[in-house]
Parts: sequence; C-alpha cells; structure tokens
Amino acid sequence: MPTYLKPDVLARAEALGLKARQLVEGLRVGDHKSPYKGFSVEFVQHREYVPGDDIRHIDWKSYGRSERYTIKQYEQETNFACHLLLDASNSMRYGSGATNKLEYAKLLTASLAYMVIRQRDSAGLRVFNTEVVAELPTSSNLGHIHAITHILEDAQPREKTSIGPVLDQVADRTGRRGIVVLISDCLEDIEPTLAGLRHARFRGHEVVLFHVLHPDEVRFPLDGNVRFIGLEGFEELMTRPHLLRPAYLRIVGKYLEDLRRGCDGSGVDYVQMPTDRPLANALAEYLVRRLQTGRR
Amino acid sequence: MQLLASSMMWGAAAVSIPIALHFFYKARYRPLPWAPMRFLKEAIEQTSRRLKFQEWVLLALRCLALLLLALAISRPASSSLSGTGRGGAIDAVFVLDTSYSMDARDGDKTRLERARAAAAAVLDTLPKGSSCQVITCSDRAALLGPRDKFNLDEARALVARVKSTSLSSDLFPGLTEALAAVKAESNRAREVYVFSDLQEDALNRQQGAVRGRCDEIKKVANLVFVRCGVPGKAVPNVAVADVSWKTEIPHTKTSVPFVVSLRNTGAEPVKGVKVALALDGKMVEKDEIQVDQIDPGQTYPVTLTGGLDRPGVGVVSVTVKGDDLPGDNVLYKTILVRDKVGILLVDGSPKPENPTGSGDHFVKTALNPGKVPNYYIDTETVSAAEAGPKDLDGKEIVYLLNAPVRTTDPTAGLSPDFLRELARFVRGGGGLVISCGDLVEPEDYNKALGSRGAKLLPFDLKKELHAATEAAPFYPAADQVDEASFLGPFRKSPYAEALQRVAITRMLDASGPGGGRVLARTTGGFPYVASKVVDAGEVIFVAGALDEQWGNFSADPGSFHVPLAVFTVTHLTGRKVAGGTETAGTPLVWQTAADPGAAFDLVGPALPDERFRPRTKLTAGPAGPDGRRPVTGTDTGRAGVYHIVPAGKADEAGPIFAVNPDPREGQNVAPPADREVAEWVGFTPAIVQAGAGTETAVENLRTRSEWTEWALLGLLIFLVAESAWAWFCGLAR
Repeated sequence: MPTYLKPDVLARAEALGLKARQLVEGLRVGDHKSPYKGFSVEFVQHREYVPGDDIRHIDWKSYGRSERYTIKQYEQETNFACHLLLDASNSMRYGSGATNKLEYAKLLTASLAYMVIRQRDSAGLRVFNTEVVAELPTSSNLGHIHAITHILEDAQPREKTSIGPVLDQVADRTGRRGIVVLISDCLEDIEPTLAGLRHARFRGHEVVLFHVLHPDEVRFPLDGNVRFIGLEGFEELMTRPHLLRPAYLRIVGKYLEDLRRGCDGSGVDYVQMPTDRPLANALAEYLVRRLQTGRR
Repeated sequence: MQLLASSMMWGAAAVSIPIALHFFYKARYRPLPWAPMRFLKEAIEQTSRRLKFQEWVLLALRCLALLLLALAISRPASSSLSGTGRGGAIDAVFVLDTSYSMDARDGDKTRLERARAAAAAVLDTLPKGSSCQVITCSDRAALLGPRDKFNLDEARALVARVKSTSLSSDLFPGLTEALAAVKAESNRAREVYVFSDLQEDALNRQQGAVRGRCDEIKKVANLVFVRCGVPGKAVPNVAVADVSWKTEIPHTKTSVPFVVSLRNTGAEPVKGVKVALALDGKMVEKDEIQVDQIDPGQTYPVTLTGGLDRPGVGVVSVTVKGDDLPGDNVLYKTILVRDKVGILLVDGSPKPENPTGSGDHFVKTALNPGKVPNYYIDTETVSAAEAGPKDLDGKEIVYLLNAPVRTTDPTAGLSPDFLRELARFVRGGGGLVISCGDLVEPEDYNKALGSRGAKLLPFDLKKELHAATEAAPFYPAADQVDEASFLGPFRKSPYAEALQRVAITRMLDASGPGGGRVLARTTGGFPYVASKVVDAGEVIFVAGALDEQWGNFSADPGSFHVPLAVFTVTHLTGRKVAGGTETAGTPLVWQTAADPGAAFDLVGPALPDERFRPRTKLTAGPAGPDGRRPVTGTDTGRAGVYHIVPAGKADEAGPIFAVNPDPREGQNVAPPADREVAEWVGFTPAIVQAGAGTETAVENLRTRSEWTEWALLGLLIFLVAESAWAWFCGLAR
C-alpha cells in the first residue's frame, strides 16, 4: 500500500463514505441520487457494521442468521469528479514528522482520493504553489490511486502560495460539476482565496476547504529568543514570542474567523485540520458532520 | 556627600553588564523557519512600542540597581556629618578654641577642660592607623603638631597641654588652618573637629569668611562642632573695664586716687566681687575692696588710693575675684611716674626788670598756679637770643613764647644752631609748644620751622593777622575743639564755659600748608590750636599769645590757660614713654637706635606654674626716617607685663608693656543654641556636646551619617521593582 494510504484512516473514511452534497452528474450509476432514473442497484458484498454506518444499510436477514450486524455494500450507482487541490508552497514546509503540514496534507489528499475512487467516483489531483506544478486528471480506476500517491510523494514545497488564480484555473477547466477540495494552509490574503473559492462555487462545484495548520501557528506556544525566518520570503524577525502571544493570537483568531465566515458566506465547507490531531479522527468528524447535515 | 571607598565606584562600570548581556543574547537567538510571518509582523507592530518601553524601563532599573550596588560598596557618607563608622582609618584635625571665654566655669569644669576631655575622647574613637593634627585657635591659629601626625599619643599629650590665651574668639583662622591641614591629608576619611564654646563672636566676626571656610571643609572632610559650653547656663562675669588715676602727671611723693571701672557683662547680678590694685606688683591698699553687687550691664567705679614713690615707668595692675570668667579679671596699665618734668621756656621778650611782664611769667604761672616750691614741673627760662643747644639738656618740653627767629641781627632771635638742635630734640620725642606775639614774623617762621625749614609747624603762617576788638574778641569755640585730642575736655563743662571768658584780640593765620591737625578753632572758625606729630615728638602751635599781648590771661585753675598748660604738658610728656598699654594680640613695638640685625628678646609674663618668664627672639627691623629701628614682638597672646630687652639682658632691661585681655571676648560668653549656630554658619552643622558621652555621640554620628544601609535598601527596592516589572511585563523569562 502506498505511503499515504494509512489503513486506519481509510477504514474509517471508507465506512463513512464520501457523499456529494449536491446532485452529481455521474458518468456511471452510483449511490448518489442521480438525475438519470431507471438504473438498478448491484449488490457486491457484506461487511461488518461500524459506528457511523447508516443503519438503513444493515442487512437484517443476515443479522437473523448470525446475530451480527452487517452492512450490505453495493456497486457504485453513480459517479462524481473530485478535484483535489494540494498546496505545496513553502509555507507548508513547517512542522516536523507527522505534524509537518505538507506531509499531513499529502496524507489527507491520498486518503480522500482513495475513498473517492473506492466508492467508484473519480478523483483528480493538482499540486500547486504559485501555479499548478503537477496535475492528474480525474479517473475512477483503482490504479489511479497509485498515480496520485506517486505525485504526492514527488511533491516538494516550493515558492509562495497563490490560491486564487489556481482555483480560477480549475473552475474554468473542469466542465463537469463535482467536488473541489482545497487542501492548504491559506497563509495569504483572504480575499483572493475567497474569490477563487467563490469562482469554483459559481461553476457549480461543491467546494471543501481543508485548512491545514500547525498547532504552533494557531496556539503560538513558542518561548525564548527566536529569530523567525520567513518561509515565503519575509525578512527575519528577532523577538521573544511569548511577549507577542496575546497580540498574535488575537490576529490569528480574527484571520481564522474571517476565513470561516467568508467560506460560510460562499457556501464552502470549511474544515480546520490542525496537524497535531490524528487525521482519522479529523476526517471522520468531518464526514459525520456531512452526514448529519444531510449531505450525501 | 562623599565616598569613603570611592575606588569602589569603579563598580559602576557594571552597568555595561546588562547592555552586554543584551547583545550577547541577541546573538543567541534560536532560528525558526516560520510560515505565518505576516501575523507575526503585525503582532510586533502592535506591541513593539509597548515592549520597547517596558524593556527600556527594565534596563534602566537594572542599571540603577547596579549603580546603587556600586554606590553602596563605595560607602557614601554625608558631607556634613562624620562618615567613618566602619573601622577605616581617619585623618582627623582638631581645632581647639583657646580664647579666654574657654576658661569660663559653667559647671564643675571649665570649657577648656571639657574641650581637652572631649578631644581625648575623640582620639580614643579613632581607628588604628588614623592620624591627628592639633590646631589652637583664638583670633589667630597655630598648628601645634604632633611632629608625626600618626602618633596619637603625642597628639593626646599636646591636647592635654593646651592652655587658654587672653585673646578673643574668631574661628576663621582656625578653620583656614584646618582646611590647609586636611587638604594635605591622604584620600582617606577625613574629619575636622572644632572644640569651642561657639560664642557668637567666634562665628560672626567674619561671618561670610567662616561660612566659606566651612563650605570648603565640608567638600573634603566631615566638619563636627564640639560644643564645650553648657547651653542655658549663665556665666557670671565682671570685667575690669579700665583704671585711671586722678592726677594729670603722676609724680613721686604724691598719693594718687586710682579709679577702677568694673563692668558686669553677664546676664545676672554678681555679688561679693573683690578688687585689688597693685603698683609694680605691690598692693596700693592693704586689703582688697569688696563690692556688694554689680547688676548686669552696670559699670561700677571703685576708687583705691596709692602712693607713688619710685620714678619711672611702672605697671598698675587691677585684679578682681568673684565671677566665673577669670580671663578678663585683670587689667594692666603702664604709668609714668616722674620725679621732675624739665621745661625750657624760650622767651622772645624777656623783661628782667619786670619779670611779671615777661612772656614766660604767664606760662610759669599756668604750670604752677599755686606757686608750690620745689614743684615737680621744673621750668627754666632763657631768652630767644641766648638759647643754645645745651639748654635742651634734661628737658622734655620747650616753649617758644613770642620768640623771633634770627635773621639779620646776630644778637637777636633764635639761633640756627638752637633751631637745628630743637628740630632734633622734637624728632627724638621731645615736645614743643609755640605761641605767637608781635615778634613772630610769619615768613621767618615758615623759613625756619615751617614747610621750607625744619617742618615743625603744623601749618605755615600767613602774613595777615586775624584781628578783633577788645569789645568783641575771639574766643575758642567749645564745639570747634577736636574731641579726640587731648583738648577734648574743653568741649565739656566746666572748661567749655571757661573758654568764653578767653578774649583773643589778635592771632596769626595758620592756614597754610604743613600737614598738621587743628585741635581748636576760635569763634570765627580760625585755627587756634594745632598740632603736628614729628617722628617721635610733637609740636603744639597756639596761633595767639600765651600772655596778655593779644588777649587776656587768667591764672585761675578753672579757666583756660591753666588747664591748657596742664593738658599740654601731660600730653607731651606722655609721648616720651617707651612701651605702653596694649591689648593682647597687638604687636609691641620699640623704636631703638640699635645696630642693624641687633638681637632682642620679648620677655613675656611667667606662666602660672613656671619660675622663669618666657622669651621670644626678636630682631630689629629696617631703620626709619629718624634712624631708629623698630623691634616688634607679636607673641602677645597672654595678658600681663612684657619687656623688650636686648638679647641676654635682664628681664626688665628694656621698655615695659602692659598687655590686657581682649575686652571683646568677655562681652557675650553665653553658649548659643543649635539653631543660632546654624543661622551663623549658614547650614545645619553636626554639633556634639562635650562631656560625658562625647565618645558615643561621635561614634553614633559616624554610624548615622554613612548611607550604605540606605543605598542597600534602595538596591533592594530596585531589585524588587525590577522583578515585579519583569514579571508584570512577561520579561522575566
């Protein structure tokens, strides 16, 4: 299994499924509500019930036989295109090990791609900084996962972030409506980012923003004498961060609030992904929330 | 403020430590690649001013704390108080007041005894390695020693031997000497102690100068006044103000009443004062006279009568007992007792056939109105033409009575030889009285005796006469008499009234050049009597006649001519006395005919417990215009009888001087309050009371005055403030 496909993450995400909130114009029949009537459902297999599964899919006959909850799985009923946009700018370099933002984002991207393809939808990938540096068109072929993970493994943080133009480009070049998933730390001005997101929404896409942030960037727990070196071209700043913490937290809090409100106002799903939080939990929580809000 | 360990102030350089640490830690900043730099930058922009302010305050507090630490270990001390309570060596200078008010007994001890005890106590407090210099001070100062200033035992012995003088108080010279001594000291802790009764005159006589010296001393040393008097304790004091005798010219074979003036200068009545008077050490009356009471401010006359037996210069000494300030209980006065007074009358109009009509008759009558046989005033008459140099032998006074100056007639008038010798006689100390008459030619007098001749005339004479009628004559005006002159009594009754009975019809105009002094004028404002001091002698010029040619004459003792003659002779004979009466501290001068460089001794009064009179070496000074050389003795600090004698001669083989206590010192001997001292010196001085506890007081003063504890307390406060500020600002990490 490729590096970025963690079994625990995938197991929980797969169980929950990724449902398009809107009607997706699929090329094939899936479990999404399709505008094209008359397609039948094809049973594939049973699997054990896990919390979070829709109880409507429990096979009660099987329960009567084995007294175990099992879920009936079907062949995909319809197909949607999921456009994954991964920010690989220098600002994503921050953090070490599992909490490195880019690594965390790659894992998230791979997980999402895997889930989408496993449920017979198609997924595509664009890695970008100031521009798109790697691109993989949408496909529902299981082998496509490997292509995605290879691109992810090759992705290195470079240059600055430029989300707005990339979103504009994606919105313009994807003819079919689908899901646009932006995975980024969004450390640039809010307004161009929101403009790009709104553009994608305008094109009929469901847009989800996974806002990947390192806990240091949110809680600013730094101490001592620190010489901050800008990852995206700012000059060096020497300071004692604990003296700045109140002001920093106030500024960051306002920024996050503005971004959240901007997303809500544009119909964009905003999901904050602190890298110290296990990806499985964060992803599951998001998917549960989608289910609870009726988005499939 | 001064620093007792000033080198420790180098520690103030430690203020560079926080600054260096600032740069050190700046170089040790941990690098961190950071993504959301704009948030950080914005946070810095929002907080930088506040942070800078907080850091500056913190830096200032830390630097101040280090400065305070340096200050504390430098041992700061007040400049007005002693600041040497930590055992370091001290360079001390003692100024001991030796004016005679220090002999006042305002308790069980005299002030000087207290001063000595207090000085010894302060010496005991000096740490090991300290030095001490002892200065005595009255109205002059002297550095006594010790020869090795680190020899405190010698200093202690010097202090124990300090004796009072008869001088008055003035701390200025003592402070000046102390300043010089303390400035010559090393850079250790320095203290100046002034042991004095701090009477007003000591600080106020030269108030500005004393303040200046105090300020200068305070800059380099700690100045401590040790008060030796007891505040609030009155000192009963009766001073001998004067002694006079009721005779014009004291002479042998007479009994003279002496009037002693006693004055109570204290603040309370003095009872039972005993007065004694001695002439040349011999009591003039067998027993002392006791005065029942003298009230404050009262001058009380006491008359004692004594016989004058021995001719020559003697000393009248008055002593009193019964008060608490002995310094002014004595008064000495020289008295010239004469056997005979030789007077030469040079008569310009002798009338052998009618002696009572000649000019000398009237002066003889005035000098001896009672015609007493073998009178002590011995007159000899000679005509002007016959007067020669030898006639001046044995004479003290010469009268020129209407005596013409020889011109063309070699048988008339005063000969040049006589005039030449007469000038020498006057310059040598003789007295000359010149009276006028028809025979006196102004021009001739001016040439012979005036500014163009011997320069004996007080003023050159003018040709014109001042003439008046018998009906409206001139007479000497009482209010025109020079009060300070020997004719001063003529301003007062009964002499003032007698002047109006003098009728002057003619007189010469003595208003030309000459440099004399007018002693009396007539009602018209014309100079009538004038004088001129010529070297050691003096000339009295009467512009009128001393007979009945140009006015009237009265032999009445209460009239003008008799007292004029007596006053004149008394005045002129008094000038001839070598030595005299002076105040302690005044230089004693004897004009001698000694060779250049001749050695003399000033023989002072014997000290109470000593047998021999102390001698001070003197040398004759440069010769004056008269050829005589002054011998000056300045070591006259103690009241008593002094002599100036040729070196090696007997104690009394020279002129005698009576030296009296400075009367200013006894006027106000009450010790002042601290507030008054502060007003006089212009600051609040450190004052320690002499007596029991002086040692402790001095040590407490030293301890109190050092600010080390306060500096450390300040340091603690600064450190607490620094910590609180750092904690409050989050800068403590």
